[in-house]
Parts: sequence; C-alpha cells; structure tokens
Amino acid sequence: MDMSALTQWFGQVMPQGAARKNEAVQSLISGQSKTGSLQEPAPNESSSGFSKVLARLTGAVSEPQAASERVVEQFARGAEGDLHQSMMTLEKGDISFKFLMTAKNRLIDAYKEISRMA
Amino acid sequence: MNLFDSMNVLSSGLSAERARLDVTSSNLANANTTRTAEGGPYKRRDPVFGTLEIAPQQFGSVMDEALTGVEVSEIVSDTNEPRQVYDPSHPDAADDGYVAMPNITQVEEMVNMLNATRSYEAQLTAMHSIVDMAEKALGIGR
Repeated sequence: MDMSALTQWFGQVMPQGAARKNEAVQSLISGQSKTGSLQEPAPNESSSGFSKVLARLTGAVSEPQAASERVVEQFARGAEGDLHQSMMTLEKGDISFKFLMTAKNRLIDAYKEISRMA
Repeated sequence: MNLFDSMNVLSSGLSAERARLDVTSSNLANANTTRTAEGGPYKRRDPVFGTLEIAPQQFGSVMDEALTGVEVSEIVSDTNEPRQVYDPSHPDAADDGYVAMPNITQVEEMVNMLNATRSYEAQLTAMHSIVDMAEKALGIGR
C-alpha cells in the first residue's frame, strides 16, 4: 500500500481521505458526527475510549505525514536537499500511516466484536 | 532509540557517500586543470568522514551510544607533488618546458567512484531491510 507516498505527489488527497475515514470511524464509534481532521486530534471529553485511542494515534502519525508534505513541497519548489533524504521522509510517513491503518483496523475489529456480543 | 533512528543513521551515510562521489567527480573533471584560484594546478581532494550523533542520548540506553551517523568533517587536499608533463608549447609551462599537471590518476578515481556506489547500495539494502521488518511487525497477529 504505497498510496500514502504516491498520493502525496498528486496533492493532498490522502490526508483528506484519511481524515474523512478517521472522522467516519470516530462518528461510528462515538455515535455522533463531528468534523475531526488529521492535524487536530482534539479528543473531546464526551468521547468514548475508542475514539480517544484513535485520536491519540492520529496525533502520533500526523507529524511524519506533515514532514512528508513539507518534503514534497520543498522538492517541487526545487529547494536544496538530497533526494534520498526526501524519499526517506516519505517512507517514514508511509510506515507511520500503515501503522495508523493497522491500529484502526484492530480497533474496528474490537468494536465489531463487542457490538456482536448482544 | 526508535525505528526511525537507524533510518536517520543510514540517511547520513547516504549523504556521506554522495559527498564522496561529488568530490570524485570534481577530481575527474579537473584532471587537466592547470590554473586554480590559489595558483598552480588543481590538487586532488579527499573527503574525511567523522561520526555524527543521531539520537539524543537517553540515560542508560546502550543503543543510543552505539548508534552514530556519519558526516563529512573536512575535505583535504592531496599533498602529493603535481605530475610533471613535458609540453613546452603549453602556456603554463615552466622555463624548462615542464607543465605541472594535477596529481590525479583516473584509475584511482574510478575505484573511489565504484567504492562509493557500492557503499551507497549497501546502505539502501539495509534501509529496505528495516522497512521490511517494520512491515512484518505491522502484520503481527494477522
């Protein structure tokens, strides 16, 4: 799944997608629709444990993602810097994003498991 | 010590090898340069590498001390005497007809170049291994 690194090149589709997905997950879990973004996890007081965990996860991942965006921007502007360093930053963002997706999948699995208990 | 520390170490290594290649290309390009800003023929250059602290030292962590990156600490000039070539028609020839040419042998530069390339490749391979390991770790329990 190289989507994250790839789509960075084509704009900011993926962060938006990730934010939307995360928003969907959060609203699914907390039972209310709210607008959350990747950059602002902002766990609110009324949210359940699940969404708190998710918000913390997105917070941890947003820094590498932001770094990837900066690198792509710098590269597009033709700024100084080594190509391998840019690629490495993209790779870090990719790994972090994969981690977020994995953790999200686990959380949703757990949620589904619990919702089936009744 | 986290997953990305080793990537940062490798990143510094890649930069160092690139610097080595840059210096080598400068040497190759100036193999016949007889005029320089400091006077005399171009002198062969060599990068000198030194260690670079990567991770902030954390108390009691052995790995943090073990992990050091690399950086170019200085570029030194080769002290070998310039090559003397007999060419009385050359504008920079001395009175005896000899021209002081840079002390560069192309074979040596080629070997340095291959060395830098192989080293770069080795570090990229290590980098792939790290990413592979991270992806395998993400699959734990699946």
